[in-house]
Amino acid sequence: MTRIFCLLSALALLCGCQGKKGAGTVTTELTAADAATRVEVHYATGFSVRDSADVRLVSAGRHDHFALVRTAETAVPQGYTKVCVPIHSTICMTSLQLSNFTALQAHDIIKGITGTKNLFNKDILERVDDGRIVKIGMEGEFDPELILAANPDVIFISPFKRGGYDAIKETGITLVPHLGYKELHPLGQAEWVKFVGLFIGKEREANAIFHGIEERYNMLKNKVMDAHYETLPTITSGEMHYGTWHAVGGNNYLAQIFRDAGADYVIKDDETAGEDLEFEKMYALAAKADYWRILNSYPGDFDYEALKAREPRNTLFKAFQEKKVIFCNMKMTPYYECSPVEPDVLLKDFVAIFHPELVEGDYVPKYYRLLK
Amino acid sequence: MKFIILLLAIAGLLVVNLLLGSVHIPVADVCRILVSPLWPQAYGAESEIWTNIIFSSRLPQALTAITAGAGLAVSGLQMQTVFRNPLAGPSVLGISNGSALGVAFVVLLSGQIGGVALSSLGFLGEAAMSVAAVAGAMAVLMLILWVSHKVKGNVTLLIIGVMIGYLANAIIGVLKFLSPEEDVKAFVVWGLGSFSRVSGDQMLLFICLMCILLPMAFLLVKPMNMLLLGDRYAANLGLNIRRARMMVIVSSGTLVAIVTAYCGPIMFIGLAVPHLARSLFRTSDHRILLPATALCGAALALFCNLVARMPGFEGALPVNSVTALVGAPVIAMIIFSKRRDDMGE
Repeated sequence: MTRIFCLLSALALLCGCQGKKGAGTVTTELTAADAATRVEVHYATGFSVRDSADVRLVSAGRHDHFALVRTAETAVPQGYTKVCVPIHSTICMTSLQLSNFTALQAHDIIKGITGTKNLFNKDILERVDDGRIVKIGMEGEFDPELILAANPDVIFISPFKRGGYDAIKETGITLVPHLGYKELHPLGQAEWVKFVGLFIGKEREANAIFHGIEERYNMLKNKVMDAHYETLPTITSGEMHYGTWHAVGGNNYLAQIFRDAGADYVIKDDETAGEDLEFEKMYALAAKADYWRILNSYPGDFDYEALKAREPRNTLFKAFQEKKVIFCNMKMTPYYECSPVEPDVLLKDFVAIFHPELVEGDYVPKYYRLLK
Repeated sequence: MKFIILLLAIAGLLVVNLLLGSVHIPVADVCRILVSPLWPQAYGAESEIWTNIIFSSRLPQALTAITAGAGLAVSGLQMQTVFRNPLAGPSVLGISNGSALGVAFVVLLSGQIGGVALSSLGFLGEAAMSVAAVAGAMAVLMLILWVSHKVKGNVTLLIIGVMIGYLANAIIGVLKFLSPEEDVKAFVVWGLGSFSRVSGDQMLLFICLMCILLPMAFLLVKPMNMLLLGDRYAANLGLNIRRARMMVIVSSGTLVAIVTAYCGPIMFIGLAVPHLARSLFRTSDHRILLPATALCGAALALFCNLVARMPGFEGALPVNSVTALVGAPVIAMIIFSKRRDDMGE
């Protein structure tokens, strides 16, 4: 009897183990649905994703680690902040983040933004008008009461700005750094749409959106490369403001787009952010550049007369004399609100100017066009 | 003799300002470029870029520094004389705060209210800022003048001036709070001050204005000397104190307003240079002190401009930081030596 019992229990144990083992293979084996929601990062360097059984580990930067779980009871590894996904409400601190939500058609999750200046999106403006989205004020000086009243699940922040998050931290709202602005690769910045997708449960959509961007961007980039131009047009960028020239560094996001669009950017250093250069330094670099990119928020129609009025020395540049200024007016174009998820469109705008033969004849640029 | 040394120093600093910059241009080329308007054969079209750098960047910058430095220093001297206060300066009556307020209205509210209106009037970009700066400074100046008619004491006027400055700053604070990041940054950059903003026609206009205003300050030398004696003596000598005070304030305020409009608020030169001139020339006679202050101001501004543009800094050092770095020790030294004299007595 005892022997039979032993045999049975051994069998049961064996079956149990086998059963467990079987269950294990089921979880590690990806179903088609899992594959679609799995997020792989190819270009962005600011965030990483690792999937384990029922927790998704997401790191943003070096110091912030989040464990995304479906149910609040799930245990998470030490050092990770638990976030129940999908989140249902959030506050966005930059227009770069807004662009991600717009791309994912997830405005209903946004409960607060910093302000509406230079904001074009009709849906968001409507939501602000009827109070579904509150304006919490500028970063560093926002109203904590409004934030608490909005009671977001998480707040996407941009730590490069003025901060002021200590009061919010104490209330227990999770702060998630969105570091898209730090990405140097144009596709890296766009890839942050996946990061937002992870939090709002739209990984599948984010993957599809990014895949489209990547495909269009790389196709055009390769087209430019395959054309094997012997000489590339040179381009300079920025404007003089109150005595100094603010130029983007040679390793900046924009400098990469110039290169991918088949142009030679006059600044070739390793600087990533913008630099403030003296006029004579910039002039020595850029005097003979073929093109000149300008992005500003000029009130009204910008033209060469206005460019001259802003700074008489602007007329000394070859690009000014030959009327090859490439211009985008942020007062009339939703630049920061859309371009982070449209690097392919930015690229196409520039290719259409540098190498018009590579784009269709009736192409209508969205952001940049030659100044008339 | 001392004047000749000062003039030579200015000439020397001017030359160094033209020779040095963030782009290296050999000395021989600079010389040939400089004489090329007179002898076109000296420098052909070898480097159009270098020619433009010298004539469109370095020369206007140096000339602006000279005129702005002289103007600010004279303005500071006038304020110190009128208020008989060694710590008075162009900013003390809130005049530079007034121009900052004017600029804040244009920069921070542009597009919302001011920008559209200004652009439709035809004042564009930085020209709008100059206009706003002068308008702001003049508004404060008028206010001060009105107050100076109402109150008798200098100290009261001084305190009211400081209060107006605080008020302007408070409004600027509110505007900053309401404005988006990039506009606030533009305003902060304006506030750093720079001699390199002016070129071309604007520079000519600036220098012409200063060439009118500075000699006008010299016309006020006599009443300023009398004011130095104290109100009672001056009145006994037949001076209309109120009128004299008013004229000196108008002259000083206009100088600051114009300089601030073109270069941004440049600190410390107005406060420190009169002391420098006094200790160099050891006199309080404005017939000597006023030209001495103007020349010292020009020299110091050129020197600060040079330091700010030292090759290593790549133009990243704001002029205001340099003027403060030079100005603050001067003030400290003056006060320290004064204290020592007092104790000696």
